[in-house]
Amino acid sequence: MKVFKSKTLTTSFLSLFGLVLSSCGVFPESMFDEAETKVEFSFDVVKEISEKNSELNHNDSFDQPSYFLGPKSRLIFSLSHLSDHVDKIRTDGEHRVWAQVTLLNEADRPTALTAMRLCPISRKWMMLSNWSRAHPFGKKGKWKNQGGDYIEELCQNPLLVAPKSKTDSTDKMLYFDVTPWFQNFVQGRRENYGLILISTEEMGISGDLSSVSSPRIFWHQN
Amino acid sequence: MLLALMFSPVGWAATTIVGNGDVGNDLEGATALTDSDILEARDESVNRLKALNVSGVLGLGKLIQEIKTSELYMAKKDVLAELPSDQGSFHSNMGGKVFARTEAEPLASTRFFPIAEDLDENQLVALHIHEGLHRALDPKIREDESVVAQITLALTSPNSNFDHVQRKMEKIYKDHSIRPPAEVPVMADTSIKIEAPGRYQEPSQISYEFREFLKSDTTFLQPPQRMHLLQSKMYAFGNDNHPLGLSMELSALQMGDEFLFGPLGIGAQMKAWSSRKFDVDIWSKISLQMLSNEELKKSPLGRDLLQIGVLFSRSSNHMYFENRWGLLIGSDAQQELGGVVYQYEYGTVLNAGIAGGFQIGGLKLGAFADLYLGDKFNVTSVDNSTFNESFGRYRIVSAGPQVSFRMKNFEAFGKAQFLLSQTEDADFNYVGDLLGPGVASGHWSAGFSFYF
Repeated sequence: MKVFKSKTLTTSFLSLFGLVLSSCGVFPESMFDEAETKVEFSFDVVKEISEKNSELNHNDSFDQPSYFLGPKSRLIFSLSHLSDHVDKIRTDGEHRVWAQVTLLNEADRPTALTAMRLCPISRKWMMLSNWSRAHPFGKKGKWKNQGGDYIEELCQNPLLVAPKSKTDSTDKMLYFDVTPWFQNFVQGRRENYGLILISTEEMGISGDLSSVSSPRIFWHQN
Repeated sequence: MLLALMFSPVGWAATTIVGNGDVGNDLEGATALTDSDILEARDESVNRLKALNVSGVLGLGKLIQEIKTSELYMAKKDVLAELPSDQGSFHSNMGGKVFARTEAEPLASTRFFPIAEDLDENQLVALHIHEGLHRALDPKIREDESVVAQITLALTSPNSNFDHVQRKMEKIYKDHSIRPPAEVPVMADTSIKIEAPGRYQEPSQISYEFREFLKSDTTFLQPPQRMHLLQSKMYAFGNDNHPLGLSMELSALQMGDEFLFGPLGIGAQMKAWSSRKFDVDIWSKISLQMLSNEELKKSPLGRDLLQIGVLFSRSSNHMYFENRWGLLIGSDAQQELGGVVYQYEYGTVLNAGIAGGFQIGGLKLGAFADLYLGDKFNVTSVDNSTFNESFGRYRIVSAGPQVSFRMKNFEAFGKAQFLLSQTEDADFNYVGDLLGPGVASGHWSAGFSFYF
């Protein structure tokens, strides 16, 4: 009990001391956001579905340093362990869940802002999927729409500017606010089948083998 | 009655004294009979004579033994009935071609001619009995074609019984003034027991088979395109009628540009039963994967498999039919794709197959149909819950042609298997038995076997 009191007093003192110093402009405000941690994960399952690779067993469609998107080539993602973090993730007006992809060519950024969208997938799929099939088994393995089934109304275009918390952003990076998807499909009761990245224009992005710029998801948690 | 009608055009009216016309000229070139309807007919004739208890009939004490122990040969070509001994109706047909010849001496061999393969079972039974009588009867009458024909008919008549045959023999003995020897052994158990040649004298085999798998729309990652299969069956145990052996199958798979070891099959099989022209084979087999863990990740087919089965086959002179039942016990396999491990749960699969066709000499030409009925096929991503599909009960119906040609101990064969009907898009990948139907939507194969 004494220990608890002592620790409580110490913590209270340090907090008060920090508040005084902060108000005097000695430390930046961010240093005291220690209770809020930025968490970032690469998507652990990345798969390209392309009309040119109609075979299900196309080895070049995953584990690649880069992928090329376009009207006939899309990328599907999932992060299998995201649900393990649900209770720690806070979402509100300021706290959002973000998806990030990195363009290979910075010059594609203006086009990507309008041509690229990230949408929730509405059907089970596996790594044997391709442009016409979500998986190879039975009639229910076929996509209803060639190139993947997704929920149109929850599609997100990239943001014009980086999230405030993203301090290491470059012009190659694109950010999608996937909070609605997170709330509906990860926190909510709807089945989470991952996300699909579509683009009406051809452009390249870094792949899952790229260590620093692989497609990823990040958020802040307490 | 039919038998009597069949032979009636010539009948036994004329007494033909046949000498020992068998000088062995046509023995050269003849081959021992090892697998033929003629052999089966011999067993049947022995059974019928035992049912009549002919060992107890006057003068017929040695008949069963003569039929059982006579060495049987098949001549390479038909001959015309030119010898005096060929003139009886039991020896030749209306075209003058000889069915069989034997020497009218105890323990002599019997030669059949190709025309005999056209006879049905009842006719062959009568022929065996007739030839056996030539060797078993008293020397005074064994070469008398008329007497032998009378006794044959008495023995093969549908209404034949012990008393009828006994009265017939007593009359013949009386007419020919033959005095029954006092020491004649008339009981069956006094006869010399000599093993008759078995049905399966060279059942062991070594085979090579090449398979080209057909393309499938719903295939898994890197399905094998081709397979080389080396198979041996060694029937080291049992006897010539019920051989029991062990089998081994080694396979190599071509997957893309690389070759991998396929499953190793180890099994046991037995010719369990053979009678009335039916053969029943039973077998069991374990297929063990020989791939390393790393190689297994490339294929969902890396599962161990236990199966049991039974084959019913029947062949006549120019036709063959087969029924096949098998049961594949369920097991699991895993496949890793881009960091995701998928588990394939194969359920128990029942296989029912039928085959049939024509056979002319060593050539068999036919077709087969197979039904595979699986109780489930589940696919689950192991590390996460992103994928979980259960496909429940499914059926796969396939069919195809098959052809084989056997010359002595060598056989060449080929077949093709195509999907006819299946549940949704199921194919042989759902069965997961590489050594059985294989993968994808079927295959064609060719190979050869050597029997010994």
